[in-house]
Order: sequence, then structure tokens, then C-alpha cells
Amino acid sequence: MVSRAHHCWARGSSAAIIAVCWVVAGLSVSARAAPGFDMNGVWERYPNPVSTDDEVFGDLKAPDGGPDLREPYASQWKALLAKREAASKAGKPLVDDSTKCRPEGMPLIMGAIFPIEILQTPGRVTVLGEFLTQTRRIFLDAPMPTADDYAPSYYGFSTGHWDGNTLIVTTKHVRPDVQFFEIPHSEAMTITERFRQLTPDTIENKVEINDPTYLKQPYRFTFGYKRNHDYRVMEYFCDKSSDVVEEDGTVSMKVKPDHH
Amino acid sequence: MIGDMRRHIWCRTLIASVALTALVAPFTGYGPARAHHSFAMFDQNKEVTLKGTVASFAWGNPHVYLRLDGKGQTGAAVQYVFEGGSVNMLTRYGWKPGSVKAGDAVTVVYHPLRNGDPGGALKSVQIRSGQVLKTW
Repeated sequence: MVSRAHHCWARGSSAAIIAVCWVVAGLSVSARAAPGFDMNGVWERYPNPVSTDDEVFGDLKAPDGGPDLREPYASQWKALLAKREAASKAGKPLVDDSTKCRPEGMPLIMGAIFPIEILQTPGRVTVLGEFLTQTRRIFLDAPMPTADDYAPSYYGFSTGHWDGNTLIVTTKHVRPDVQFFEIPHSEAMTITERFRQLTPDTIENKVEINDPTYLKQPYRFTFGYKRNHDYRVMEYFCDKSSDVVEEDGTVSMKVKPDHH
Repeated sequence: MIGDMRRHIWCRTLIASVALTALVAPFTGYGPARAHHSFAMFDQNKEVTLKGTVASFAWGNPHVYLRLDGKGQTGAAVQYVFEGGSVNMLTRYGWKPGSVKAGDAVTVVYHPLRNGDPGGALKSVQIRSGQVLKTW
């Protein structure tokens, strides 16, 4: 009886000591500088890649001239761009995913055609794109699922971790039909992003795309962003359009009088 | 006479530009502002100014649409259709959903459709208050 009581007391005190140790350990961890930096807020591309009238009204182009694709993909991609350019020159632009208001997916959402809002919550970094009211979730310190466990999606699966003050995010499982500037890719494409703070209100995102089936070498480019303290991201759903996609894939604007 | 007109247009453009810059600056900042599709259907090298009466103004995404009752080259009544930017862009340029209403007399500047149809990409609208609002 005594020994049982003693045992219980001993067990209880051990638990108490462990609990105290946990609290102390926790305090010492929180006393240390937490890794990372404050990414919360609304961010706009900086420097602005679309500032002149020509850039505003011209067609957007893949950063840094595009990737170094293997053949026949390189020739096919160039032919696609040439076809698009010729159609535009003729005044009959070809339809694209953006015209169809299809979600941009990864990595185009990070191109922030309109502002993006980043929310940091425990275990999560969430990117909200103003364009098309998109949502991208980055799970911190989460294991990357296998292809058997995760169906390809627009944004794929993103896992991130802090390496000092750099947030490193790996994304896989992006749908092959979700293409960055119509660049083909496989289901094995891996996108690595490195977010680093440059000044309190500017960050850079160094993007590296690896896809040995399609790319001769990794495709690297950098997106810069500047925080806008005043802007409130708006809702954006496509609900009104007079653009008509013709049978030949060109887009025109309907000008018939309104009968409403 | 032509010189006077040019000067008048130039002065008006200058005043409008200054007013526009003052209006737009706090909203545009450095953010990209681009449409969701190619502009190739519009003649980007041509700007046309047109006065007319608003038939309807649709506030929405991916574009706002302004239908304007005006006159064609022969003087006949023509309804034009203009496509502007998206709601977020216009809001940044100082637009409100009620900035333009049916029946308003407005002056628009636009890039015409290359296929000759009456309409185009709306660049700016001088609304009933005299304020010039940009759309792209």
C-alpha cells in the first residue's frame, strides 16, 4: 500500500518535473529569435513589370526568355508562341487560360498580375491572389505526399520550411495542363521557391523549376514584391464578358446592341 | 484656326493629364495593371475621342462595359460598346460603381476595334462631373 502510494507520488512528481522541463524548454525556445520574417500583408510585384502602355497592352512573356526545353518541346513551344504572335498581329488574338478565367495555378499565381495577400498562421502560409480570387496553401514542415496519395492540382502540394530567414517552399503535383506561359511539363515537375526579405517591405522569391523530362537545365527566375500597407484585396470572379471565343480559337468582342 | 484647335486640344489634354495624374497617382503605385486577355483585337496605335450618351454601364469582372449612344462617321446614330479594365483596376483609378449612369453625357477616349465594329478598349471617360477617369 505504502509502496503503491509512493509509486504514485513518484510517478506524479516525475510528470510534474517533465512538465516543468517542457515549459522551461518552451520558454527558452520562444526567447530565441523565431526563424523567418513577417510576410503578412498585401504584396505587389516590384519592380513593376507592367508599367508602360506597351507593356500594359502587350502580351505578357515568360520571364528571362523562357526555359531551356529539350526537343521536340523547345520547337513546339516556339511554334506555339509564333502562332500566337501572328494571330495577335492579325488582330485576332488566340484564346488562352486567362481569357477563360481559368485559375492560374503554380507558379503563375506568384507572378501576381494583381496583388497577392500573404497570411502567416501556425503551420501555414496562405497566398491569396486577387486575380480570380485564388487560394494557394503552403504547409510548413509537412511531408510531401507521393503521387499515389495526391492527385495533381492547380497549385500542387506545397511544403515549406524556414532555413534561418529564408522560407524554402517545394511544390510538386501540379497538373500538366496547368502551364506557366504554356510551357509543357510533366507530373514530376518540382518548383522550389526561396523567399528572402530584402528590406522591411520588399521580398524576393527565387523560383527554380526542375523537370528533367522536359528541361535541359533548371528554369530559374526571380519575382520581387513590395508590401502595400493601404490596399485591400478585392473579390474577383468573372461574371460579365462580351468576349466571344470563335470556333477557330480566336477571341473577339461582341458589339451587338443591348436588348435588356 | 486649326492651330487654335490643336492648342485647345493640347491644353485640354494637358489639364486632363495633370488632373488624371493627380487622381491616379495614389491608387496605381507600382502595381501591375493588366487585362486578362490580349489587346490585339484593338488598334493600340489609334486613339479616338467620342461624345455620347451612356446607354448602360456594367460594373463587373473581368471587364466593365460601357455602351454609348453616339454618332457614326455619317452622322447616323450608332451604339458603341467599350471594354474597360476590371473592377479592382478601376477602383484603384478612383472609379465607383456609380461613377457613370445611363443617360449621362460623357466623352470617352478609346482604342478602336481593328475589325471596324463600333467599339473598342476604353482608355478614359470624362464623367458628368468633368472628372477624367482612366480605365487601363
